[in-house]
Amino acid sequence: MERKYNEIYCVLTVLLLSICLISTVFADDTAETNENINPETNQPIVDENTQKEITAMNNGIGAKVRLLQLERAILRNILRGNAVISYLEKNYPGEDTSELKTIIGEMRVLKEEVAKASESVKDSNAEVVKTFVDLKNDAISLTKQFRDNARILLEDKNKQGLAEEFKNIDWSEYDELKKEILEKIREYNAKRVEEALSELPEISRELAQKLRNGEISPEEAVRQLMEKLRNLEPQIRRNGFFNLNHVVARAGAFRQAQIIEARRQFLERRMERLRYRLEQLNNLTKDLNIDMNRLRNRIRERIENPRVTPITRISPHGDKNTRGWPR
Amino acid sequence: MNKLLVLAAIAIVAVVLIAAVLVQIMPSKGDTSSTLTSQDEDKIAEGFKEILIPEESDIAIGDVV
Repeated sequence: MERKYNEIYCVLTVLLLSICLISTVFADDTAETNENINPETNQPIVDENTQKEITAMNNGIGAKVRLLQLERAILRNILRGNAVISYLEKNYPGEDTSELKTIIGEMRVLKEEVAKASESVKDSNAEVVKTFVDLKNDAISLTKQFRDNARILLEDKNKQGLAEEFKNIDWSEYDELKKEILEKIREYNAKRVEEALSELPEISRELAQKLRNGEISPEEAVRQLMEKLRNLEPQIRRNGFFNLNHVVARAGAFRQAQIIEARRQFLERRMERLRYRLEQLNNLTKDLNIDMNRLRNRIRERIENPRVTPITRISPHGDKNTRGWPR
Repeated sequence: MNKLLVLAAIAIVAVVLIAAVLVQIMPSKGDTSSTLTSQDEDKIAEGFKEILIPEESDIAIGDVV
């Protein structure tokens, strides 16, 4: 009798194990798990926009363009953030803007990190994409922290004055960066067309030249490319589209592999990055013109509590810095 | 007899598992012919357009206000 129970137990165990294995085999790899969410922003580490941006990073120019674009986006927020601080200081001297200044200070450090990364890009590799994803996540988080704090300070204030302050922003550095990015985008698009139509040099040369000169947009280039391919002999036309498809498929495979890599050990990388940033602050004291102890403490808090979303440090009732935050 | 039953159960489970794994890793049988319809061509062009970077594109990190 006992032997029979043992056998039934054995069969049930095997069945249970197989159910577990089958469910593992059919598990949905694409589901957003907690591991794919940035705890600072509660947003996906690699959102849909970032996925598209990564596609262009499988060559050196594309990677450089994305990092420069990120630098430009951070610069815009630094300029606009400084305008918010300036507006508050001029019109509401009683308001404490030190937290906003500290966040802008960290944004400036972050901008330098992005600039350094873009300068050192030689060719695309997994490290460049990971750096882009990591620094973009930091930029989104710092922007959100600034916005949350600024909204409280700007509540019930005259917004017209702020709009005037925005009009006085000096955009010269931003415009320089914009110009550099535009040139690189044109070069990137031209190279892509040359690569995709390497067996049809006459067509690719003409389209690439137009893209480099800015005569046509990428959309127009694709339209003209389609038109030219469809006017070719059936066999050449077919080969042309197959080559194009090969480039598309390769870019898609690159994107998928990089997304997985960028999500892996995201928190560990963030800890390393924040520790490095903390070390680097000693060299930046004079440039930032802010309370460095406060900035150091902000970074230390995030190192100590990697899974905590930074909270607003200014209470909506004017009772500022009451949560034990460093001043 | 009982031993046979256990072995049979293990064999069935093994077959089911192998089948499940094969279903996952086998590529789906698509159109293997070498002809492309104009819809296929449009789809390829659309995919290629996504690789190119629009001149006015930007990285969205949110605004400070």
